[in-house]
Amino acid sequence: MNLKTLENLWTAFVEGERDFTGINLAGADLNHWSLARVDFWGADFSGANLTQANFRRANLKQTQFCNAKLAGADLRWADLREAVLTGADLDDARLEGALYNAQTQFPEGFNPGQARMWSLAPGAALATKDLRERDLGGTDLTAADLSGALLVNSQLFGAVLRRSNLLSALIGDSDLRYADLCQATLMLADLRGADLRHSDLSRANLIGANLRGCQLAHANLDGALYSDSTHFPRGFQVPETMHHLAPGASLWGADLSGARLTGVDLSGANLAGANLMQADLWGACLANADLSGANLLGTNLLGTDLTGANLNQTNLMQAIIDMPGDVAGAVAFDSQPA
Amino acid sequence: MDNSPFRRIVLPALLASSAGFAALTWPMTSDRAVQVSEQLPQPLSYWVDSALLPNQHKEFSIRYIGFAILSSVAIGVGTAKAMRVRQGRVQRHQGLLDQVLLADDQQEDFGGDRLPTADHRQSHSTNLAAADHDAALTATTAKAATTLDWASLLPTTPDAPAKAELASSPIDEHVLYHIQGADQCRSLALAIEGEYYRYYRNRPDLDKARRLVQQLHQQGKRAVATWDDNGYVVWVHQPERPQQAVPWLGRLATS
Repeated sequence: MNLKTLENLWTAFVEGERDFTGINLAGADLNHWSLARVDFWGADFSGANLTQANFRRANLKQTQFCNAKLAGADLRWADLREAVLTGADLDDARLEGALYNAQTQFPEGFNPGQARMWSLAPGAALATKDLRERDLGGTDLTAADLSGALLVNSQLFGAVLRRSNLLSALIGDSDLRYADLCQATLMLADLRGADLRHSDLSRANLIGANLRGCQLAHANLDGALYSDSTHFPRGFQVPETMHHLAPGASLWGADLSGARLTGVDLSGANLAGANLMQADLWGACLANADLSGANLLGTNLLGTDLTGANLNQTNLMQAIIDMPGDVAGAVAFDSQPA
Repeated sequence: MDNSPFRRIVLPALLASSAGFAALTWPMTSDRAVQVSEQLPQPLSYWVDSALLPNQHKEFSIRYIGFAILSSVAIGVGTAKAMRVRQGRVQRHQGLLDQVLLADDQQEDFGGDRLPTADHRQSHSTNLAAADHDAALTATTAKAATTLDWASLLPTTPDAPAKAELASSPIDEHVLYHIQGADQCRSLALAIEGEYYRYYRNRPDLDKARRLVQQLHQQGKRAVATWDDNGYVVWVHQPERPQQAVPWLGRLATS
């Protein structure tokens, strides 16, 4: 590590450069340097002195920190996925909200959960977390809980968000091209200005979502759910393959399996033969709805208003209900009363 | 030593501070000062007299010396700040000049063509997307003179090729898949001649895309880049055969 390299780094940094992808700073003395929000993807800090350095919100993905001195360093909300921290001194380092995954290599005995780091993996619990302006492109977050999460202006190109819960999430101005949002719950989500071209939104729940200013060219919206409160981009023609959820709607034979339909008003709707397997209908109104022949296997019907609903030949196996007596008439019955 | 902060910042500050202190305390030590003070208008003349006669106005003289010390310190600090700003400006200009010279050197190395992949532009000059691509290329070329000298910062591997060629094509020309590896994680991938290239990273311009591909080559990884109206996407070769590969959105080749 020569002085010229450091001088070069400093000059570029002062001039406003923040992208130092793959830079070699092995053995450098950067103690007390403020490098917040800097992009160091794939950089090499092996053996460097980074004591008290500020890497807050920095992109440190795939970065080498072997035997680096990170004592007292601020790594809060930094992206440490696939980073190598073997032998690094992390004494008094602040790591709250720093991202990691299964490929991140920590020093022996280090517990990322204890340091309050966030795991980015399928099924991750990231509700209400601040993930704005992050490069999460290609990340697999299948079935992750991102309800209420802040994902504004994030890079989510090719991200796998299949079956994830994005209820009330703020995802405006994000790059979601080629993102897999199949069966994702985007109920009440704010997607204003997001780029959703070539994304898969099939069977996604868009009830109450704000899609104003979104780019939806070549997006797959087959079987996606929307309501009168869904805001589409100006001039957008709603495809016939989407399902309009409203009182009296015709959803005959529709596949709504696994959908989160909490509090939805489907009174008088035609759901005959529909597949509602494993759906969440907590607090929904199905009064006078036609559910004849529908599949409600394992469906959550807690607090669901089924007054006057037609349950003739409805499959209620393993359905979770309040009052088993209310659903007399169903052909199969093996519910779990609350 | 010529470029040391002591010579360029500390020494001028010390000199300025000393000069300031000397100028302010000169009246107390010089005989001519009494003659000069007599010619000054009131109340300036009274203040200078008070400073010159420490026995009669001891309290004021002490205060005046304190004022002189503080003033000289302020002069020193001000000079140091000014020198630091000047030094930073000079360094920045020097850095930019070095980079311009370096870019010129590289241009000579390429025989006048700064972009080895320039031929690629001609094949797509007829459509709008290619026009955007050209604009990106031009912008990159113009920016090259003011960006960081990466050659000195990137790790080098002896076996790695000196310059990695960037194979770049429009993303629409490729067949995309969702692949699932042994770790059960899904990722978007490109299929080229039966080989899969996993999504790696988005890059805003050609220069950064090329640099990333070069870094991956140095690590012994095969990489390709695609482009669209938003920039570039770098894809890295997947050596292992995926356990599952599903065409993206159920669509196969579009071209």
